Order: sequence, then C-alpha cells, then structure tokens
Amino acid sequence: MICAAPRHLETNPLPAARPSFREVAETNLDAVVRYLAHMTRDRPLAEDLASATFERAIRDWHRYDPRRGRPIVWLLTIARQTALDHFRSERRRRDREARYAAEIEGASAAPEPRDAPDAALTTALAELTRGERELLALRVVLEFETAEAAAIAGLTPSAVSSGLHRALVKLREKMGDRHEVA
Amino acid sequence: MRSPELTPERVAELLAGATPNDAAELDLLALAGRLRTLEPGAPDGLRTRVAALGEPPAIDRRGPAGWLAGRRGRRSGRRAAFLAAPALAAGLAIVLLAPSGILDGSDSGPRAKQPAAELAARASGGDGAGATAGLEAAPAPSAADAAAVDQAVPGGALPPATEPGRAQELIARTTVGVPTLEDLSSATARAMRQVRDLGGFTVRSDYSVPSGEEGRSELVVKVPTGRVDQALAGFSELGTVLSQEARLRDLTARITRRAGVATRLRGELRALRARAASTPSPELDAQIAAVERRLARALRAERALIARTELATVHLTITSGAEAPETDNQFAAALRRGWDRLSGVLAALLAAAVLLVPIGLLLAAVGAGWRSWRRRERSLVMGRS
Repeated sequence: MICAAPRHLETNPLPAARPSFREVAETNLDAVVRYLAHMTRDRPLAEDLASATFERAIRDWHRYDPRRGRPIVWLLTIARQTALDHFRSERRRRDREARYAAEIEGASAAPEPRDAPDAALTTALAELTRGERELLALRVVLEFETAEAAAIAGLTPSAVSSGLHRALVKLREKMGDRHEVA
Repeated sequence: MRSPELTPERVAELLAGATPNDAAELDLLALAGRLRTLEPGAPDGLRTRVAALGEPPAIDRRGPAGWLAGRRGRRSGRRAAFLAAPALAAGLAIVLLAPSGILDGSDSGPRAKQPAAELAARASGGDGAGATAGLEAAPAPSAADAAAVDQAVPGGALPPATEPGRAQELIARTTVGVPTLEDLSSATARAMRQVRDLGGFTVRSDYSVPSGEEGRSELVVKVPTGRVDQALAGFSELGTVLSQEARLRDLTARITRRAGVATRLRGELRALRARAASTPSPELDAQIAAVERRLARALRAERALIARTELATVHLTITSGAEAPETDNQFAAALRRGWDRLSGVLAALLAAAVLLVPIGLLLAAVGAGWRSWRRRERSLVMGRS
C-alpha cells in the first residue's frame, strides 16, 4: 500500500486565519489515526482513541489558537493525552484485577491480524516501547520537524533526536535478528 | 554484516531528504519507507463518525463566557489565575485590615475633615451649622440635653433614667507644636490649668525629653462635654496645631437599654416586696435580695455610661524641637492625607504578602511535586511496550 505524502504538510500550513473544525478534522484524521496506531500497536484501540480525540477537540476548539501552532500539532497533543489517559486507566485496571502480567500484555500488545505484508516490521515494532514508537510515528511516519515533534511529545528537541536515533537502531537490530533467525 | 552506526544528526538529515551515502543509509531510508506505509489512514466508519461531530457551538467572545473561554489555549485559565491572585489578595487584605484603621493613615486622616471644634460644639449643643455628619456623628443634642449635661458636673446629681435622649461620648485628639523645651514645659502647665478652670481634670500625664530640644508631653484630660470646645480653643493657643480630630460615639441606645433593665428590675422588686408584705418567707427575702443586687449593678452600669457622656476625653500631645511646628496649609494637608492613604494601602498589601507568601510557597511546592509525579508516571507509561 502506498500512502500519499502526508497531507497535513501540503494542505495544512500555519493558517493565516482560523480554519473550521470540520475542515481540520477531515484533513488530519488520517494522521491522528496513524499516530495512535503506531503508539498503541492496536488498530481497533487506535481508532477508538482517535474518535475520543476528536470529541475532546471539538469541546476545546475555542481554545485553539492558530498563532501558537498548526492544527495538527494541537490535535496530536490531544491525541497523546487521550492515549496516556487510556494507558493509565489500563494500568490501574490491571493492578486492580491482578491478572497475570505476561498474559495480559501479550493479549493487548498483539497486533490485529491483518493482511499487511510487513509482519516482520509489525512484530519488531511491538518490541519497542511506546515512547520509541511515538517518536518514529512523529518523525518518520508523519514527518514532523524535530521542534514540532518535541512540542507534541513533551520533550526537548535533543531528546527527540537522540530518542529517534535509539529507536531506529533498536528497530534495525530487531529486524536484523529476525532476518538472521529466518 | 552489521551496518555502521548512524549519528542522530545524520538520521535527521536523511529524513529531511539528504542523499544516502552508503548501504546502511539506504537501508535506513527503506525502513522509513516501510514505516510510512505500514498503517493506513482512517476507515470510512471512523471518518463518518468524526464528520458527524459537526462544528462546535459558537461562543460569544464579547460576553463573560467568551472572556473565560479565552483563545490562548489551556494555559489561559492558569494565566488568568496568576494575574488575578495578587488583586484578590490585595482586596482581601484591604477588607480584613480596614476595620483596624490601618488604611486611615495618621491623625490628619479623614476624621480630621470635620474640625474637632465643630464636633465639640455640636456635642455641647453649640452652633454646628454647616457641619456634615461625622464618622459616628448623631444629630446634636437639644439645648435641654446640653443644659442637663452642663449641670452634670462631677459629683452632682445624676439625671433620672426615665426618658431616652441623645447621649454622646466625645473623644478628641490634638497635637500642638512649640519651638523650644521651655515652651513645652510652660505649655504643659498652662494646659493643665485650663482643664482645671473648665471643671475638668488630668487623668494621665507623660513628659519626656529624648535629646536636645526634642521633647514630648502627652496629657489625657477629662473636660465637661459642654466645655470641650473651650478646652480645644485654649489648647490651640498653646502653639501651632499640627493635627486635630474628634470622634462622637452615640451611647443613647445602650443607656436606654440599661434604663429599661433597671425599670424592669424595679418593677420586679416592687412585686416581690408586695408579696413579701402579705406572705413573708425566707425564699422571697432571698429573691428580693438577689433582685436588689441586680438592680444596683444595672444602675451602676447606667451611671457609668452617662458619666462617659458627661465628660469628654481629650488626648493632648505637645511636641518641641525636631517635631517643631510646620506651617499647615490646605495643599500640604491634602498631600499629607494622600500620602497617609497610600502608605495605608501599601501597608495592607505588605500584610497581604506576608500572609499569602507562605501559603503560595506551600501551594507551589505541592504543585511542583504533583507535576514531578505526573512526569514520572508518564515516563513509566510511555516506557512500556
């Protein structure tokens, strides 16, 4: 599957005037879903979180200031917060129910069986941390600049650069291991 | 074969479109391409759900809701709170401290707007034409009341507590400046003589000479209320008046209440005595004695209140040397009052700061701890697979 170049870069430059919410949602929905999919490695969960993200965004739309950044940055900040809230509540639920950690993690981290050809990459990604997958999603998949990625992820630009480098090295090693095993 | 390590800077360059130099860099770009194509966009169902959200409701930014909503993101509320906090603290401090008089400044404050002699004249039933209402001022007592007061010199008969009338307690403060220590000594003696001549007496006298020509004499005198204007006029002639203020406190309601209590107790006493005359008993005698004691206490309290209205209290301060008299004109007096007000407000703000800084520091520490804990928790969550 070939995806077009990130639409938000072509069609969503820093707006001179405040855009409409509908227009922003339509333009950036794909980017939000892909970001969440990479972070969670759970496609159905990513779509649910994306829906929750836009519900939050429409409530807080009056707070969005075009002078502070592009709409996509604002949306992904909300998406990140939504995902974090979900992870926190999941963690609390697990502690509360005291399920066997490996069984639960295996169940939630296992990617949905899809007919995607890149199972090796999917499996290797599942072995990275959420933070590493987030950086890959922001810098590689969605092609944000370091400064914007740092703003979304709540990190410094240097932390983003070094984190991305570590994530790519780790991913390559995992991919290399699989090839060797294969 | 393992590829050589790429630096973070080189990774950033390659992602930005730099030409790869070797197989490792080509490999990296290929991996990036695979990552980009791994996840598709939103499915149609999700697209429909998001489109169904529509547009958010419009907020009228002219109204309070629009102002509160703000346009500057999540931090607008916090920013507004930080800006409003000092104003709220100042307002709270002023409300709490105003009753203590800290905002009123010195003796040349608003209480001196009405010349003390005018208030004194009103209290004694003199000509108060044109005088506006003072802080605790009440309508001037009638001529009959004034006469009754004039007659009520210390040691004389007390007026009957049957008819409620206007009874006011007058407290005046006067500061007079004289050039030298010799003048201070003679002025003090003259003041005490004047008080005696008017039928009053000195309650307290403090005389101090800290150094050189600087001296201070503080007198607290009692003067019949009807003659306090004469006393103040006499004090004004001792030197230059630096400040003057007078306060009237209406005790009519309290005296009336005391009189009512006494009347009730007299009635109770009469009834008991009538019963005892027809049916004497030790219990009735005990009750009569108890009521008599209560009646005596009530009458003493009533007399004490009346005595406060019969004699005015004047605080006279005479200074010399460094506290030498200044020529007081209206402009200077207005400036002084303005400065007193400003210093009062600044004192209130300082008091608010002293009160609120420890609380603010505690809240800041709690907030910092909370943010640190949230940051750790986020790292923990994002560090999991």
